[in-house]
Amino acid sequence: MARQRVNSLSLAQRGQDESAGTLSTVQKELEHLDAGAIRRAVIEHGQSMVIGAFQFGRSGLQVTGAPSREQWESIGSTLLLMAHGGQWWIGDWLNIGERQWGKTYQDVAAQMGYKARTLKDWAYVARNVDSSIRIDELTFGHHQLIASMPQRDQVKWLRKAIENDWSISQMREFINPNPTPLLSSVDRFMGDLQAMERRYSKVGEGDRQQFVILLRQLLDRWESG
Amino acid sequence: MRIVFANEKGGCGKTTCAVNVAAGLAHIGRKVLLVDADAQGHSTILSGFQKAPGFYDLMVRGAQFSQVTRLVSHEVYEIPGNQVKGELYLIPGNIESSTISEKTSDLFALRDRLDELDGIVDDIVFDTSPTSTFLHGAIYLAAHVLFIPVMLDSFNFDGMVETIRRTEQTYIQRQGSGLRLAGIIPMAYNKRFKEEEYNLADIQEAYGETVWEPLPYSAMFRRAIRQSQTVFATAPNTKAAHDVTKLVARILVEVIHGKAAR
Repeated sequence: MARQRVNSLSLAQRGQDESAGTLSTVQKELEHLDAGAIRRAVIEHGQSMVIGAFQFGRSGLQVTGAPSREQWESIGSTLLLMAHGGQWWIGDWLNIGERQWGKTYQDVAAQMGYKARTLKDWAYVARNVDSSIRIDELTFGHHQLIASMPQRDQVKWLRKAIENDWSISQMREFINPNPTPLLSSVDRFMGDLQAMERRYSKVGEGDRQQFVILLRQLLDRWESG
Repeated sequence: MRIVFANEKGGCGKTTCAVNVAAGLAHIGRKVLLVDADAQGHSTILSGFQKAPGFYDLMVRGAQFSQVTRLVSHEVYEIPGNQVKGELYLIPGNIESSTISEKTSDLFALRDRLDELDGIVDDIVFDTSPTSTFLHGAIYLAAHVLFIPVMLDSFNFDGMVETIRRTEQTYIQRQGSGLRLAGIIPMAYNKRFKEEEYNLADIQEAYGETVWEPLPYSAMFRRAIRQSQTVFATAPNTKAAHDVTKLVARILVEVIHGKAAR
Protein backbone atom coordinates (compact mmCIF):
# COMPACT_ATOMS: atom_id res chain seq x y z
CA MET A 1 0.00 0.00 0.00
CA ALA A 2 1.43 3.28 -1.06
CA ARG A 3 1.43 5.66 1.84
CA GLN A 4 3.71 8.40 0.74
CA ARG A 5 2.64 11.34 2.80
CA VAL A 6 2.40 15.08 2.47
CA ASN A 7 4.14 15.60 5.78
CA SER A 8 6.42 18.14 4.28
CA LEU A 9 3.43 20.27 3.33
CA SER A 10 1.39 19.89 6.47
CA LEU A 11 1.65 22.65 9.02
CA ALA A 12 -0.47 21.00 11.67
CA GLN A 13 1.05 20.41 15.05
CA ARG A 14 4.46 21.50 14.00
CA GLY A 15 6.65 24.17 15.43
CA GLN A 16 7.42 27.42 13.72
CA ASP A 17 10.80 26.13 12.53
CA GLU A 18 9.19 23.26 10.78
CA SER A 19 6.54 25.54 9.30
CA ALA A 20 9.29 27.74 8.00
CA GLY A 21 10.90 24.67 6.48
CA THR A 22 7.64 23.77 4.82
CA LEU A 23 7.23 27.22 3.38
CA SER A 24 10.73 27.15 2.08
CA THR A 25 9.90 23.88 0.32
CA VAL A 26 7.08 25.62 -1.47
CA GLN A 27 9.27 28.60 -2.11
CA LYS A 28 11.91 26.38 -3.68
CA GLU A 29 9.25 24.89 -5.90
CA LEU A 30 8.19 28.34 -6.99
CA GLU A 31 11.72 29.60 -7.47
CA HIS A 32 12.44 26.57 -9.54
CA LEU A 33 9.75 27.69 -11.94
CA ASP A 34 11.22 30.97 -12.68
CA ALA A 35 14.12 32.58 -10.93
CA GLY A 36 12.90 35.60 -9.06
CA ALA A 37 9.26 34.66 -9.55
CA ILE A 38 8.46 35.00 -5.88
CA ARG A 39 9.96 38.46 -5.78
CA ARG A 40 7.76 39.47 -8.66
CA ALA A 41 4.68 37.89 -7.14
CA VAL A 42 2.21 40.60 -6.35
CA ILE A 43 -0.42 39.91 -3.77
CA GLU A 44 -3.28 42.35 -3.82
CA HIS A 45 -5.20 41.92 -0.61
CA GLY A 46 -5.64 38.22 -1.29
CA GLN A 47 -7.57 38.89 -4.48
CA SER A 48 -4.96 38.06 -7.06
CA MET A 49 -1.35 37.01 -7.41
CA VAL A 50 1.08 37.34 -10.28
CA ILE A 51 3.94 34.91 -10.82
CA GLY A 52 5.95 35.49 -13.93
CA ALA A 53 3.61 35.61 -16.87
CA PHE A 54 0.63 34.20 -14.96
CA GLN A 55 -1.97 36.11 -13.01
CA PHE A 56 -4.00 34.07 -10.56
CA GLY A 57 -7.42 35.35 -9.52
CA ARG A 58 -10.12 33.83 -7.31
CA SER A 59 -11.90 32.29 -10.25
CA GLY A 60 -9.37 32.01 -13.00
CA LEU A 61 -5.86 32.19 -14.41
CA GLN A 62 -4.75 34.63 -17.06
CA VAL A 63 -1.57 34.87 -19.05
CA THR A 64 -0.10 38.35 -18.96
CA GLY A 65 3.09 37.70 -20.85
CA ALA A 66 4.61 35.02 -23.05
CA PRO A 67 5.56 32.05 -20.86
CA SER A 68 7.86 29.35 -22.15
CA ARG A 69 6.66 25.77 -22.23
CA GLU A 70 8.98 24.98 -19.31
CA GLN A 71 7.44 27.80 -17.25
CA TRP A 72 3.95 26.55 -18.09
CA GLU A 73 4.86 23.01 -17.03
CA SER A 74 6.57 24.14 -13.86
CA ILE A 75 3.74 26.32 -12.70
CA GLY A 76 1.35 23.47 -13.46
CA SER A 77 3.11 21.01 -11.16
CA THR A 78 2.89 23.56 -8.38
CA LEU A 79 -0.77 24.25 -9.07
CA LEU A 80 -1.55 20.54 -8.89
CA LEU A 81 0.25 20.34 -5.58
CA MET A 82 -1.75 23.32 -4.33
CA ALA A 83 -5.01 21.83 -5.57
CA HIS A 84 -4.36 18.61 -3.70
CA GLY A 85 -3.00 20.13 -0.52
CA GLY A 86 -4.71 23.51 -0.57
CA GLN A 87 -7.57 22.74 1.80
CA TRP A 88 -5.15 21.14 4.24
CA TRP A 89 -2.85 24.13 4.11
CA ILE A 90 -5.66 26.57 4.74
CA GLY A 91 -7.09 24.42 7.52
CA ASP A 92 -3.71 24.10 9.20
CA TRP A 93 -3.02 27.79 8.66
CA LEU A 94 -6.32 28.77 10.28
CA ASN A 95 -5.59 26.55 13.28
CA ILE A 96 -2.12 28.02 13.72
CA GLY A 97 -3.60 31.52 13.57
CA GLU A 98 -6.18 30.67 16.17
CA ARG A 99 -3.69 28.97 18.48
CA GLN A 100 -1.07 31.68 18.31
CA TRP A 101 -3.00 34.89 17.83
CA GLY A 102 -6.60 33.99 18.60
CA LYS A 103 -7.55 34.82 15.04
CA THR A 104 -10.69 32.82 14.37
CA TYR A 105 -11.96 31.54 11.07
CA GLN A 106 -14.79 34.08 11.38
CA ASP A 107 -12.21 36.89 11.55
CA VAL A 108 -10.44 35.53 8.50
CA ALA A 109 -13.70 35.05 6.62
CA ALA A 110 -14.80 38.59 7.32
CA GLN A 111 -11.40 40.05 6.53
CA MET A 112 -10.76 38.16 3.32
CA GLY A 113 -14.26 37.76 1.96
CA TYR A 114 -14.73 34.01 2.24
CA LYS A 115 -17.63 32.01 3.60
CA ALA A 116 -17.12 31.30 7.29
CA ARG A 117 -18.73 27.88 6.94
CA THR A 118 -16.17 26.73 4.37
CA LEU A 119 -13.23 27.90 6.43
CA LYS A 120 -14.73 26.35 9.55
CA ASP A 121 -14.99 22.97 7.79
CA TRP A 122 -11.40 23.07 6.58
CA ALA A 123 -10.10 24.07 10.00
CA TYR A 124 -12.19 21.37 11.66
CA VAL A 125 -10.86 18.62 9.42
CA ALA A 126 -7.25 19.79 9.76
CA ARG A 127 -7.61 19.98 13.56
CA ASN A 128 -9.23 16.58 13.91
CA VAL A 129 -7.24 14.49 11.46
CA ASP A 130 -3.70 14.32 12.76
CA SER A 131 -1.07 14.99 10.14
CA SER A 132 0.57 11.67 11.00
CA ILE A 133 -2.36 9.65 9.66
CA ARG A 134 -3.28 11.68 6.58
CA ILE A 135 -2.82 9.80 3.31
CA ASP A 136 -1.48 11.56 0.24
CA GLU A 137 -3.34 9.46 -2.27
CA LEU A 138 -6.70 10.30 -0.74
CA THR A 139 -8.38 13.67 -1.13
CA PHE A 140 -9.25 16.13 1.57
CA GLY A 141 -12.87 15.04 1.04
CA HIS A 142 -12.03 11.46 2.06
CA HIS A 143 -10.50 12.77 5.28
CA GLN A 144 -13.47 15.05 5.85
CA LEU A 145 -15.71 12.00 6.11
CA ILE A 146 -13.81 10.58 9.06
CA ALA A 147 -12.88 13.80 10.86
CA SER A 148 -15.43 13.33 13.63
CA MET A 149 -14.32 9.78 14.49
CA PRO A 150 -11.87 8.60 17.12
CA GLN A 151 -8.38 8.32 15.63
CA ARG A 152 -8.40 4.53 15.67
CA ASP A 153 -11.50 4.53 13.41
CA GLN A 154 -10.05 7.25 11.23
CA VAL A 155 -7.01 5.08 10.53
CA LYS A 156 -9.21 2.06 9.85
CA TRP A 157 -11.42 3.84 7.30
CA LEU A 158 -8.57 5.65 5.55
CA ARG A 159 -6.79 2.34 5.15
CA LYS A 160 -9.91 0.73 3.70
CA ALA A 161 -10.40 3.65 1.31
CA ILE A 162 -6.89 3.39 -0.09
CA GLU A 163 -6.97 -0.40 -0.27
CA ASN A 164 -10.30 -0.46 -2.11
CA ASP A 165 -9.68 2.64 -4.20
CA TRP A 166 -12.92 4.20 -2.98
CA SER A 167 -14.23 7.47 -4.34
CA ILE A 168 -15.57 9.90 -1.74
CA SER A 169 -19.16 8.84 -2.42
CA GLN A 170 -18.25 5.15 -2.17
CA MET A 171 -16.48 5.76 1.11
CA ARG A 172 -19.47 7.72 2.42
CA GLU A 173 -21.77 4.87 1.57
CA PHE A 174 -19.61 2.29 3.32
CA ILE A 175 -19.15 4.43 6.42
CA ASN A 176 -22.78 5.35 6.64
CA PRO A 177 -24.79 2.56 5.04
CA ASN A 178 -27.93 3.45 6.95
CA PRO A 179 -28.39 7.21 6.66
CA THR A 180 -32.11 7.24 7.39
CA PRO A 181 -34.26 5.17 9.74
CA LEU A 182 -36.34 4.12 6.73
CA LEU A 183 -33.58 1.89 5.46
CA SER A 184 -33.48 -0.29 8.53
CA SER A 185 -36.96 -1.39 7.60
CA VAL A 186 -35.94 -3.13 4.36
CA ASP A 187 -36.18 -6.56 5.96
CA ARG A 188 -39.44 -5.62 7.70
CA PHE A 189 -40.97 -4.42 4.45
CA MET A 190 -39.79 -7.57 2.73
CA GLY A 191 -41.54 -9.48 5.52
CA ASP A 192 -44.74 -7.48 4.90
CA LEU A 193 -44.54 -8.25 1.19
CA GLN A 194 -44.03 -11.94 1.93
CA ALA A 195 -47.13 -11.98 4.12
CA MET A 196 -49.18 -10.12 1.50
CA GLU A 197 -48.00 -12.46 -1.22
CA ARG A 198 -49.05 -15.49 0.84
CA ARG A 199 -52.47 -13.97 1.36
CA TYR A 200 -52.77 -12.97 -2.30
CA SER A 201 -52.38 -16.58 -3.39
CA LYS A 202 -55.44 -17.43 -1.29
CA VAL A 203 -57.61 -14.54 -2.44
CA GLY A 204 -60.37 -15.27 -4.93
CA GLU A 205 -60.49 -13.59 -8.36
CA GLY A 206 -63.23 -11.21 -7.25
CA ASP A 207 -61.21 -9.81 -4.38
CA ARG A 208 -57.95 -9.32 -6.19
CA GLN A 209 -58.58 -5.72 -7.23
CA GLN A 210 -59.20 -4.81 -3.61
CA PHE A 211 -56.08 -6.69 -2.64
CA VAL A 212 -53.96 -4.76 -5.12
CA ILE A 213 -55.24 -1.53 -3.57
CA LEU A 214 -54.05 -2.82 -0.20
CA LEU A 215 -50.67 -3.64 -1.69
CA ARG A 216 -50.42 -0.13 -3.16
CA GLN A 217 -51.23 1.34 0.23
CA LEU A 218 -48.53 -0.77 1.81
CA LEU A 219 -46.03 0.44 -0.78
CA ASP A 220 -47.08 4.08 -0.33
CA ARG A 221 -46.85 3.81 3.44
CA TRP A 222 -43.41 2.32 3.24
CA GLU A 223 -42.14 4.87 0.71
CA SER A 224 -43.35 7.73 2.86
CA GLY A 225 -41.51 6.27 5.84
CA MET B 1 -45.49 -13.20 -15.63
CA ARG B 2 -42.64 -13.19 -18.14
CA ILE B 3 -40.52 -10.09 -17.76
CA VAL B 4 -37.73 -9.05 -20.10
CA PHE B 5 -35.08 -6.44 -19.37
CA ALA B 6 -33.70 -5.12 -22.63
CA ASN B 7 -31.93 -2.12 -24.12
CA GLU B 8 -29.85 -2.13 -27.28
CA LYS B 9 -27.03 -0.50 -25.37
CA GLY B 10 -24.50 -2.22 -23.16
CA GLY B 11 -23.72 -1.32 -19.58
CA CYS B 12 -27.09 0.18 -18.79
CA GLY B 13 -28.02 -2.08 -15.88
CA LYS B 14 -30.01 -4.88 -17.52
CA THR B 15 -28.21 -7.58 -15.55
CA THR B 16 -28.38 -5.66 -12.28
CA CYS B 17 -32.12 -5.21 -12.74
CA ALA B 18 -32.84 -8.74 -13.93
CA VAL B 19 -30.94 -10.53 -11.19
CA ASN B 20 -32.03 -8.31 -8.31
CA VAL B 21 -35.67 -8.22 -9.40
CA ALA B 22 -35.75 -11.99 -9.91
CA ALA B 23 -34.15 -12.47 -6.48
CA GLY B 24 -36.51 -9.99 -4.83
CA LEU B 25 -39.58 -11.71 -6.25
CA ALA B 26 -38.26 -15.07 -5.08
CA HIS B 27 -37.56 -13.60 -1.66
CA ILE B 28 -41.16 -12.50 -1.37
CA GLY B 29 -42.37 -16.01 -2.04
CA ARG B 30 -42.65 -16.44 -5.77
CA LYS B 31 -41.13 -19.20 -7.87
CA VAL B 32 -38.92 -17.38 -10.32
CA LEU B 33 -36.84 -18.56 -13.25
CA LEU B 34 -34.04 -16.24 -14.34
CA VAL B 35 -32.95 -16.82 -17.94
CA ASP B 36 -29.49 -15.58 -18.81
CA ALA B 37 -29.92 -14.91 -22.53
CA ASP B 38 -26.84 -12.71 -22.71
CA ALA B 39 -23.73 -14.39 -24.12
CA GLN B 40 -21.67 -12.54 -21.52
CA GLY B 41 -23.21 -14.78 -18.87
CA HIS B 42 -23.07 -12.15 -16.15
CA SER B 43 -26.44 -13.03 -14.66
CA THR B 44 -25.09 -16.53 -14.30
CA ILE B 45 -22.04 -15.33 -12.42
CA LEU B 46 -24.11 -12.98 -10.26
CA SER B 47 -26.28 -15.92 -9.32
CA GLY B 48 -23.25 -17.78 -8.03
CA PHE B 49 -22.60 -20.12 -10.99
CA GLN B 50 -20.00 -20.61 -13.67
CA LYS B 51 -20.98 -19.65 -17.20
CA ALA B 52 -22.58 -22.61 -18.97
CA PRO B 53 -24.52 -23.22 -22.21
CA GLY B 54 -27.87 -23.86 -20.50
CA PHE B 55 -29.89 -21.44 -22.63
CA TYR B 56 -28.14 -22.65 -25.79
CA ASP B 57 -28.88 -26.27 -24.89
CA LEU B 58 -32.53 -25.42 -24.31
CA MET B 59 -32.93 -23.54 -27.58
CA VAL B 60 -30.66 -25.49 -29.94
CA ARG B 61 -30.13 -28.97 -28.53
CA GLY B 62 -33.67 -29.38 -27.27
CA ALA B 63 -32.59 -30.05 -23.69
CA GLN B 64 -35.17 -30.61 -20.96
CA PHE B 65 -35.65 -27.86 -18.39
CA SER B 66 -34.54 -30.27 -15.68
CA GLN B 67 -31.20 -30.64 -17.49
CA VAL B 68 -30.42 -26.95 -17.79
CA THR B 69 -32.03 -25.39 -14.73
CA ARG B 70 -30.07 -24.63 -11.54
CA LEU B 71 -31.48 -23.81 -8.13
CA VAL B 72 -29.89 -20.58 -6.88
CA SER B 73 -28.55 -20.74 -3.34
CA HIS B 74 -30.30 -18.58 -0.75
CA GLU B 75 -26.87 -17.24 0.17
CA VAL B 76 -26.97 -15.24 -3.05
CA TYR B 77 -30.06 -13.26 -2.16
CA GLU B 78 -31.31 -13.87 1.36
CA ILE B 79 -31.64 -10.87 3.65
CA PRO B 80 -30.02 -11.89 6.94
CA GLY B 81 -32.75 -12.50 9.46
CA ASN B 82 -35.47 -12.70 6.84
CA GLN B 83 -35.95 -16.14 5.37
CA VAL B 84 -36.50 -16.52 1.62
CA LYS B 85 -40.06 -17.70 1.02
CA GLY B 86 -39.88 -18.62 -2.65
CA GLU B 87 -37.44 -20.21 -5.06
CA LEU B 88 -35.07 -18.79 -7.61
CA TYR B 89 -33.92 -20.89 -10.53
CA LEU B 90 -31.46 -20.05 -13.26
CA ILE B 91 -30.92 -21.14 -16.82
CA PRO B 92 -27.27 -20.19 -17.27
CA GLY B 93 -25.73 -18.65 -20.34
CA ASN B 94 -22.33 -18.36 -21.96
CA ILE B 95 -20.74 -17.37 -25.27
CA GLU B 96 -22.65 -20.10 -27.09
CA SER B 97 -25.82 -18.05 -26.64
CA SER B 98 -24.45 -15.68 -29.31
CA THR B 99 -24.83 -18.43 -31.93
CA ILE B 100 -28.43 -19.38 -31.11
CA SER B 101 -29.72 -17.00 -33.78
CA GLU B 102 -27.71 -18.83 -36.45
CA LYS B 103 -28.97 -22.24 -35.44
CA THR B 104 -32.68 -21.77 -34.94
CA SER B 105 -35.28 -20.24 -37.19
CA ASP B 106 -38.52 -20.63 -35.26
CA LEU B 107 -39.39 -17.31 -33.65
CA PHE B 108 -42.03 -18.97 -31.51
CA ALA B 109 -39.92 -21.90 -30.29
CA LEU B 110 -38.99 -20.20 -27.03
CA ARG B 111 -42.57 -19.23 -26.27
CA ASP B 112 -43.65 -22.82 -26.84
CA ARG B 113 -40.91 -24.17 -24.59
CA LEU B 114 -41.77 -21.75 -21.81
CA ASP B 115 -45.41 -22.75 -21.98
CA GLU B 116 -44.20 -26.05 -20.51
CA LEU B 117 -43.49 -24.14 -17.28
CA ASP B 118 -46.99 -22.71 -16.83
CA GLY B 119 -48.13 -23.55 -13.33
CA ILE B 120 -44.61 -24.60 -12.34
CA VAL B 121 -42.98 -21.20 -12.00
CA ASP B 122 -44.73 -17.88 -11.30
CA ASP B 123 -42.35 -15.57 -13.10
CA ILE B 124 -39.70 -15.80 -15.78
CA VAL B 125 -37.17 -12.99 -15.93
CA PHE B 126 -34.91 -12.53 -18.97
CA ASP B 127 -31.56 -10.79 -19.04
CA THR B 128 -30.70 -9.97 -22.66
CA SER B 129 -27.64 -8.96 -24.65
CA PRO B 130 -27.32 -5.44 -26.01
CA THR B 131 -27.01 -6.49 -29.63
CA SER B 132 -30.39 -7.08 -31.21
CA THR B 133 -30.66 -10.49 -32.86
CA PHE B 134 -33.24 -13.01 -33.90
CA LEU B 135 -33.08 -14.28 -30.31
CA HIS B 136 -34.44 -10.96 -29.05
CA GLY B 137 -37.43 -11.46 -31.31
CA ALA B 138 -38.02 -14.90 -29.82
CA ILE B 139 -37.84 -13.43 -26.32
CA TYR B 140 -40.14 -10.50 -27.18
CA LEU B 141 -42.67 -12.96 -28.55
CA ALA B 142 -42.44 -15.14 -25.45
CA ALA B 143 -42.51 -12.36 -22.83
CA HIS B 144 -45.42 -10.37 -21.43
CA VAL B 145 -43.77 -7.17 -20.28
CA LEU B 146 -40.68 -5.23 -21.24
CA PHE B 147 -38.57 -3.06 -18.96
CA ILE B 148 -35.89 -0.84 -20.40
CA PRO B 149 -33.13 0.07 -17.96
CA VAL B 150 -31.42 3.21 -19.21
CA MET B 151 -28.47 5.30 -18.11
CA LEU B 152 -29.17 8.99 -18.44
CA ASP B 153 -27.07 9.77 -21.51
CA SER B 154 -27.69 10.20 -25.21
CA PHE B 155 -26.26 6.86 -26.37
CA ASN B 156 -28.47 5.04 -23.90
CA PHE B 157 -31.47 7.00 -25.14
CA ASP B 158 -30.61 5.93 -28.65
CA GLY B 159 -30.54 2.28 -27.56
CA MET B 160 -33.83 2.76 -25.73
CA VAL B 161 -35.55 4.37 -28.73
CA GLU B 162 -34.28 1.59 -31.00
CA THR B 163 -35.55 -1.06 -28.59
CA ILE B 164 -38.99 0.54 -28.37
CA ARG B 165 -39.21 1.04 -32.13
CA ARG B 166 -38.15 -2.52 -32.90
CA THR B 167 -40.44 -4.16 -30.38
CA GLU B 168 -43.44 -2.07 -31.44
CA GLN B 169 -42.98 -2.24 -35.20
CA THR B 170 -41.57 -5.71 -35.62
CA TYR B 171 -42.94 -7.82 -32.85
CA ILE B 172 -46.08 -6.17 -31.53
CA GLN B 173 -47.57 -4.87 -34.79
CA ARG B 174 -46.36 -7.48 -37.29
CA GLN B 175 -46.04 -10.62 -35.19
CA GLY B 176 -48.93 -9.99 -32.82
CA SER B 177 -46.83 -10.21 -29.68
CA GLY B 178 -48.70 -9.30 -26.49
CA LEU B 179 -45.56 -7.64 -25.19
CA ARG B 180 -46.20 -4.42 -23.29
CA LEU B 181 -43.67 -1.74 -22.40
CA ALA B 182 -44.15 -1.69 -18.64
CA GLY B 183 -41.46 0.74 -17.68
CA ILE B 184 -38.32 2.66 -18.46
CA ILE B 185 -36.02 2.52 -15.44
CA PRO B 186 -33.40 5.29 -15.21
CA MET B 187 -30.31 3.63 -13.75
CA ALA B 188 -27.44 4.81 -11.54
CA TYR B 189 -29.08 8.21 -11.26
CA ASN B 190 -26.93 10.85 -9.62
CA LYS B 191 -28.90 14.02 -9.08
CA ARG B 192 -25.74 15.93 -8.26
CA PHE B 193 -25.00 15.95 -11.99
CA LYS B 194 -27.18 18.53 -13.65
CA GLU B 195 -26.86 16.74 -16.97
CA GLU B 196 -28.57 13.66 -15.49
CA GLU B 197 -31.32 15.80 -14.05
CA TYR B 198 -31.98 17.42 -17.43
CA ASN B 199 -31.85 14.09 -19.25
CA LEU B 200 -34.28 12.56 -16.75
CA ALA B 201 -36.65 15.47 -17.33
CA ASP B 202 -36.33 14.91 -21.09
CA ILE B 203 -37.35 11.24 -21.00
CA GLN B 204 -40.10 11.97 -18.49
CA GLU B 205 -41.48 14.54 -20.90
CA ALA B 206 -41.22 12.13 -23.83
CA TYR B 207 -42.51 8.97 -22.16
CA GLY B 208 -44.57 10.26 -19.23
CA GLU B 209 -45.55 7.76 -16.57
CA THR B 210 -43.78 4.95 -18.40
CA VAL B 211 -40.63 6.32 -16.82
CA TRP B 212 -40.30 4.79 -13.38
CA GLU B 213 -38.59 6.23 -10.36
CA PRO B 214 -34.82 6.19 -10.99
CA LEU B 215 -32.63 3.62 -9.32
CA PRO B 216 -29.97 5.87 -7.76
CA TYR B 217 -26.26 5.26 -8.12
CA SER B 218 -24.81 3.07 -5.41
CA ALA B 219 -21.40 1.51 -4.93
CA MET B 220 -23.22 -1.40 -3.32
CA PHE B 221 -24.16 -2.82 -6.72
CA ARG B 222 -20.47 -3.13 -7.61
CA ARG B 223 -19.77 -4.65 -4.25
CA ALA B 224 -22.53 -7.19 -4.86
CA ILE B 225 -21.08 -8.05 -8.27
CA ARG B 226 -17.67 -8.60 -6.73
CA GLN B 227 -19.17 -11.00 -4.24
CA SER B 228 -21.41 -12.73 -6.83
CA GLN B 229 -24.49 -11.89 -4.82
CA THR B 230 -27.48 -9.60 -4.97
CA VAL B 231 -27.65 -6.45 -2.88
CA PHE B 232 -30.12 -8.18 -0.56
CA ALA B 233 -27.38 -10.49 0.67
CA THR B 234 -24.39 -8.21 0.30
CA ALA B 235 -25.77 -4.96 1.62
CA PRO B 236 -29.24 -5.56 3.09
CA ASN B 237 -29.30 -2.45 5.20
CA THR B 238 -28.29 0.05 2.58
CA LYS B 239 -30.05 2.50 0.34
CA ALA B 240 -29.32 0.22 -2.63
CA ALA B 241 -31.29 -2.64 -1.03
CA HIS B 242 -34.02 -0.19 -0.13
CA ASP B 243 -34.26 1.09 -3.71
CA VAL B 244 -34.27 -2.40 -5.24
CA THR B 245 -36.94 -3.55 -2.79
CA LYS B 246 -39.07 -0.60 -3.85
CA LEU B 247 -38.58 -1.56 -7.49
CA VAL B 248 -39.52 -5.19 -6.77
CA ALA B 249 -42.57 -4.12 -4.78
CA ARG B 250 -43.71 -1.84 -7.56
CA ILE B 251 -43.29 -4.57 -10.18
CA LEU B 252 -45.28 -6.91 -7.95
CA VAL B 253 -48.05 -4.38 -7.34
CA GLU B 254 -48.28 -2.56 -10.66
CA VAL B 255 -47.28 -5.23 -13.14
CA ILE B 256 -47.77 -8.73 -11.77
CA HIS B 257 -50.81 -8.39 -9.53
CA GLY B 258 -51.96 -5.14 -11.12
CA LYS B 259 -52.41 -6.95 -14.41
CA ALA B 260 -54.33 -9.74 -12.73
CA ALA B 261 -56.66 -7.19 -11.16
CA ARG B 262 -57.38 -5.31 -14.37
